[in-house]
Amino acid sequence: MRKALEKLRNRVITWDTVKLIGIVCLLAIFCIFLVGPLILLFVKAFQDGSGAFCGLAQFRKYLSSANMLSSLGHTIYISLTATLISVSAAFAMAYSLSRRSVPCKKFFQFISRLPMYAPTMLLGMSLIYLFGNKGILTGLGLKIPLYGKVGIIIAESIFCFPVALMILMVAFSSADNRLYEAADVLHATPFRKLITITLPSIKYGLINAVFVCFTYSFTDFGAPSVVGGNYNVLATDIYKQVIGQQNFNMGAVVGIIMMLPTVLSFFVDRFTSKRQTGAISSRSIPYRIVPNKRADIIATCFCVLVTLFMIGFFGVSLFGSLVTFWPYNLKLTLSHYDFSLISASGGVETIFRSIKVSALAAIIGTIIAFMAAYFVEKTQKFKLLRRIIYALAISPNAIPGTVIGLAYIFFFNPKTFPLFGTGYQINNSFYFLYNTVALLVCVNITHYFSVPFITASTALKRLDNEFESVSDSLKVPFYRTLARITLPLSMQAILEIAVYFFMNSMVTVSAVIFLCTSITQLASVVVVNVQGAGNDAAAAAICMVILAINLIVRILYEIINKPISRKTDAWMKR
Amino acid sequence: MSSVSIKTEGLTKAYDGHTVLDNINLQINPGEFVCLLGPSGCGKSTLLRLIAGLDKPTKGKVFLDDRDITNLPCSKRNFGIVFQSYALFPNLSAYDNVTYGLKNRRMTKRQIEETANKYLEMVGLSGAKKRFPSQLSGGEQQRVALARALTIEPDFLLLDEPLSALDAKVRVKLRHEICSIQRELGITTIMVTHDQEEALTMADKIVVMDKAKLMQSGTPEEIYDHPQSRFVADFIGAINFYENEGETKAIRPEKIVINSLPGADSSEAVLTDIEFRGNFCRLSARSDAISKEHEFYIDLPTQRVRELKLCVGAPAFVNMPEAEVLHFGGASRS
Ligand SMILES: Nc1ncnc2c1ncn2[C@@H]1O[C@H](COP(=O)(O)OP(=O)(O)O)[C@@H](O)[C@H]1O
Ligand SMILES: [Mg+2]
Repeated sequence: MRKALEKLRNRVITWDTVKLIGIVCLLAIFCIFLVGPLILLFVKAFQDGSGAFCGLAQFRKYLSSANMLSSLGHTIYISLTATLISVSAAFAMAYSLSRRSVPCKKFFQFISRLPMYAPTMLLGMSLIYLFGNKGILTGLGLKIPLYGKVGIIIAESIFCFPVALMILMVAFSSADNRLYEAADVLHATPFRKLITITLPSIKYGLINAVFVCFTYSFTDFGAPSVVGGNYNVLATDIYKQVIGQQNFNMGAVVGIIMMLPTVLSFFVDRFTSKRQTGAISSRSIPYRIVPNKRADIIATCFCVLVTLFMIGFFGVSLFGSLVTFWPYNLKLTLSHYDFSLISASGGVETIFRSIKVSALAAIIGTIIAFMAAYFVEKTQKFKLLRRIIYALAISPNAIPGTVIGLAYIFFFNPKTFPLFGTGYQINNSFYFLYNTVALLVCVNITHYFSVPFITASTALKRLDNEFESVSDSLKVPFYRTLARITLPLSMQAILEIAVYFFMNSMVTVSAVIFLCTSITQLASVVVVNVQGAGNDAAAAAICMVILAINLIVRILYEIINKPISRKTDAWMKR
Repeated sequence: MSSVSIKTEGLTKAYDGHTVLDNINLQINPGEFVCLLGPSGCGKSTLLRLIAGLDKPTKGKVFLDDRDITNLPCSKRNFGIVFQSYALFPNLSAYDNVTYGLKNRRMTKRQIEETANKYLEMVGLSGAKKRFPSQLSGGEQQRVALARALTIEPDFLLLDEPLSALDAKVRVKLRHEICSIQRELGITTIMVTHDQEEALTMADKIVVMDKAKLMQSGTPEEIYDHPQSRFVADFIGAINFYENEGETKAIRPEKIVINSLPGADSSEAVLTDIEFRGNFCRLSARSDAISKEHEFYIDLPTQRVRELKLCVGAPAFVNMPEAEVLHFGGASRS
């Protein structure tokens, strides 16, 4: 009897129970907002319009349609070309910024990130202002067949450039200077050093950049919708199938086909990121730039060129949004910024709604991503559950936005789900989310979940696991250590994550375009509608406002982050 | 501070079917300072973590004062722990680190301050309260970690290679400090180390481990003078192994008697090297009478080397006193 009592007392609710509850909650969230919708997407792809199971019939239909096949070919073609261009340019830029002594590096980097801050439609519109029928450069005699593949390729190249640059900068920064010194001692030529040291050390970064760029341009919706013309690609195909022809099942099929390269890219990323972190040891010495006047000047010129291009490229849309009637009446006006004139879809409130959605996505998304990373990294027990959470958390990286948007329609739109074989229907208890702002927040968090999760995991991995052991021995509950130690030490990552969620939610179109209705319209979707209706100036104006908001957020981030990072660096100094 | 005894019974731990700790039976008396000694990877930290409750054993039991605590979560066992990495919270000052475990107890601010000051003083760090870990030297960080572990007045203290990240001078100094604090508090202490010198100088009892198994435990003298296995003999101190009469024998280098003149029971040897080590010299010698294949070492005070006028190449006469020779059974074994 006494023994049993003793046993019971030792088994009282421990903090592990609390953690377990947290983990189960997270799993439930993932099931509702990721697994459920995706399962329905897969189911739909094997059904016909009436809901009857039809096996691979839809896929067969897809593959036998010349039109559809051509769009697959188009998508691959533009993605390959855009990848080649953006990765080459990013390689040169990353090399210049990390291996050459170039002034104002921060500034160059900042400007080169501009394409991330605006919806991709803006890239298309700038192209129209430059090369369209009434474009500036067209007027000067520089005629290119903009609408179609050329336009898409240019837009996607610019769109992919910042992310390729970021990946390659990280890869370049992981060099070990001792190798270069050893090579110098052995009288290696610069070319041999490039082949034998530089390329191998950035190999995985390069592979990763290629796949990420390919995926980005493979799945982007914004640019082709603006400059695509009659050149059909998969992302716009889904949209046409679903919104245009109401053929949801075919939409699901296209979605699944679209996931092939993204899933491949996902595994490549898993593979390469493991290799890359293994390649740098703690004893590596960072690369020290050896001045070389000619190379430095060339590198600086390249950076200046890219920067001028970016500024010009975005400047032309800004100008376009500020003149009365391009190109006939160039009198400056703010009339396009009077969004109350934008009829059906509403004006100013869509911008405020966008900000609201993005802010909520930033706050809630950051909390969930950090929690998930915390449980995965800082819990010793529940190994299987933690593995599942990890797998679920990184899988959104493999799912294009359009696919997530479509899957959400399948999951949240029906009032009831039919039960297979039986005539029964079960009520959809999540239907209430349909047509709400909350669902837009959810879809954005899901869509952009992986990168924040990985960022948080990386930050947490850097913290000694023994902090938790010590706290346990001191009988301090885990949440106190989380609040007092873990969170303050991860502040940089947390800010970064919040900003990432915010900015992407501001500019995204692909997922939300399926879910926005007249009462939950977002600014980025309004851009598509307004531009489609021919009002380029207003569309450019909205893009500029989005860009401005993101720039402000980014600058705020830099201001807040500065003292935090200085403090963290001082703490973490060994 | 109360002293407790710790006992483990058949403690076994396996990770994915790979046994890292195999049937460990350990008895630690109240107030004892025990060193877990063994090569790296032999499972010392794992054993410590099992005793702490940071991991659960696959099999076996842990007792505290004859109370079964195997299923007691780590926050319910009253112990202090210090890691090799110190695991000091980098965003808290030395003082805040030390008081970290006191804040969630029913203690007044005064009491907290007094306790913290007492232990900071004990480790000799009263002057560094406000500094952050990154502003402290390795030895100071280690002292803060020790103070932090002691504030909660633990029943027993666990130290996982606390000195191995420090440089030699600081290490020796801290050895003495840890020992004197341990004695002052009379707290049962288990320290993990792979440094035999550390174990020999600090421990009341040494527990030698190898490849997940407990090899031998005993006082430093017992372990040094009467190693029960070849591994223990080899791992602790220097030793010469040789085969003789179909048996593996061993003798410590300082136990060999050397002379420049032949005597009773001595065999002739040739000196092949003399290594100067300050107060003593390590001589390498070869003697066909003892072993045809191997050289053996002899440690001799430098003073004595000079007296005997020993030099490389010169013949000498060695004698292995039978009382000092260790026997390890058949030569084919081991
Ligand atoms: N969490 C773990 N998972 C799998 N293997 C582990 C784990 N912790 C320790 N090991 C393995 O157990 C063995 C003993 O480790 P450890 O107790 O840390 O050795 P040491 O004696 O150096 O402290 C090692 O081979 C190590 O790889
Ligand atoms: Mg260890």
